[in-house]
Amino acid sequence: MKRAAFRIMSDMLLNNLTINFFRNIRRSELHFDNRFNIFYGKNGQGKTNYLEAIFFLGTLKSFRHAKQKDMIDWDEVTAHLRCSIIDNELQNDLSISFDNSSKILKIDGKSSARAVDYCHLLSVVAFSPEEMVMINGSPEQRRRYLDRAVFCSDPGYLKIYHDYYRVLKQRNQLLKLRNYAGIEAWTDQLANTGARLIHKRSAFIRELAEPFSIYYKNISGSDELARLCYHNPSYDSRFSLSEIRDELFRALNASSRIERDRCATVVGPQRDDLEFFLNDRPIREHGSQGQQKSFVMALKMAEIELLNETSGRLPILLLDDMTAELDSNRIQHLLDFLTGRNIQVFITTTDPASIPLSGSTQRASFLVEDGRIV
Amino acid sequence: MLHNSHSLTRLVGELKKLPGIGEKSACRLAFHLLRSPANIIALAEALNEVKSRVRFCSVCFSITEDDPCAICRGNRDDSIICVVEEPQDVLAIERSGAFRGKYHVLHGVLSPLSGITPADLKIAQLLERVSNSSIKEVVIATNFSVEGEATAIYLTGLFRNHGVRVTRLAHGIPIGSDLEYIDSATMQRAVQGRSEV
Ligand SMILES: [Zn+2]
Repeated sequence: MKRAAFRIMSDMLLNNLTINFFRNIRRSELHFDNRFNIFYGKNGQGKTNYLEAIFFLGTLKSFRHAKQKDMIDWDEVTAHLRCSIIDNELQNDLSISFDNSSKILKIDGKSSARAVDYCHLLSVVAFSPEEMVMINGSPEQRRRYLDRAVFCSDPGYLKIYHDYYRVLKQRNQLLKLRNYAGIEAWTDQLANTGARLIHKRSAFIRELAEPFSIYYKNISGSDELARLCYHNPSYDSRFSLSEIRDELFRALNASSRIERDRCATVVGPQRDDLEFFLNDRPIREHGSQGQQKSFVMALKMAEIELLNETSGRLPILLLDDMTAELDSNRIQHLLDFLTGRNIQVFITTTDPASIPLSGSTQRASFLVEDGRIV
Repeated sequence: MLHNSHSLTRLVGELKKLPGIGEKSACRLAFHLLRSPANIIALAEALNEVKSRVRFCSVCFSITEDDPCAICRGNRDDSIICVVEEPQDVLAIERSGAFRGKYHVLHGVLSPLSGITPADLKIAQLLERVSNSSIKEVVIATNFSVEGEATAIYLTGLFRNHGVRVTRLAHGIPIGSDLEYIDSATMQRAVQGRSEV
């Protein structure tokens, strides 16, 4: 492997988790193993809910894109999650209480209003069947993935993202009303904020590209060349930030007739997409299920490595139902890879025998029935 | 609870229109006032006085009791004018004592989503002031929100052919703050806007 191995200096650990009234989990208290944690049981028992709770504690979002009200026990108004984490030998207690519309975040028992500060304490990367929309879904779903991934590695990205979409909304309002007074200023501002957004997104994808293709080979155990490309017509990998800005500005001006016809801005990063290739053929049309799944998995691994490089931290990894469509060879490759790293892993499966961990590998197993650990 | 007093309902209704005041706080304030008649009268007088005496300066559109305002009449640098969003921004800059020129209050920023276009701001008046005076520099001190920035860009374009210097207020890290507590967006801006020492 070309890249240096993961640094072991600061592995993130989730020690324990307490859940109240989260989906079908009325009350649960768990202590985790430092390496592998396996939730098993029949379908529909709530295994994934445990991963979703962990993901929510780390990101304040659901990896199933669920709303808050969907994550609260039907008979209750408020759900509570609490966990303690160790990052670089420092222990923190995180807790969230939420109802349909609001949430209260606490760090070490103290209220902390700022989601930005909170979100970086427990870094978590999830792989679930829903992630396959990255390949088969819409450009919007791929942008959502990209934005979340960039934000995880660069908290400053959130403001750049919000600024751009705010300017876009303002400008579209003028186009909608066909009132073009002052639109030049908004075009200018859209090019400024849009270039910053394109710059961040493209830099992230560029950094991801190399570890990604290496991990794909590792997981698939093949020599296939996997590539991902950032697609924006105003972007060229040789461009500097100001060149991107000028190019976007030109594209906006060139499209002014079309946008006045359609009453909306028609160019810019709100139309960005990611393109995935396997041996230079689009994987969406040509890849098998196993190839596509390995592809997304490799992307997650690359994300983890990038997070480790930029922040010196290793996130925890959630694997929801990953063994379902992955053949046993690929599973073995993936587990070998994970065993060789210091990552704490949380896995759900219907069949614990499908997870061939060697006898000496540390693990904890949890049988889930009707939301409870039995 | 209020249905047997029309005037109390009305008071609560008026209080609720104030920013940051909901039904509950409005009721609390109303009952508090009821318990202290002296406060009610003082408050009513203060409101009346504000209404009858405070107005907008016809030159700079800041708030004043005498028109033109003390700053417009005062012995200030006539060659430089600072453009701000709201009258309270004038107070903030004046408190710093760092600026000795004159002001112009726009009364808002461009925001199509709130229905605000250039015609809704005191921009035509600003243009007229700059055209008919000895102003050499326009300092744009709108906020660093996307709307404030768009307004700054708009004004910059407007003055491009007016032979005046247009500058933008610098922004960065608050003095006395620890770098570790600066949010990353501010930090990125501060790094981008760094200057020679
Ligand atoms: Zn004045």
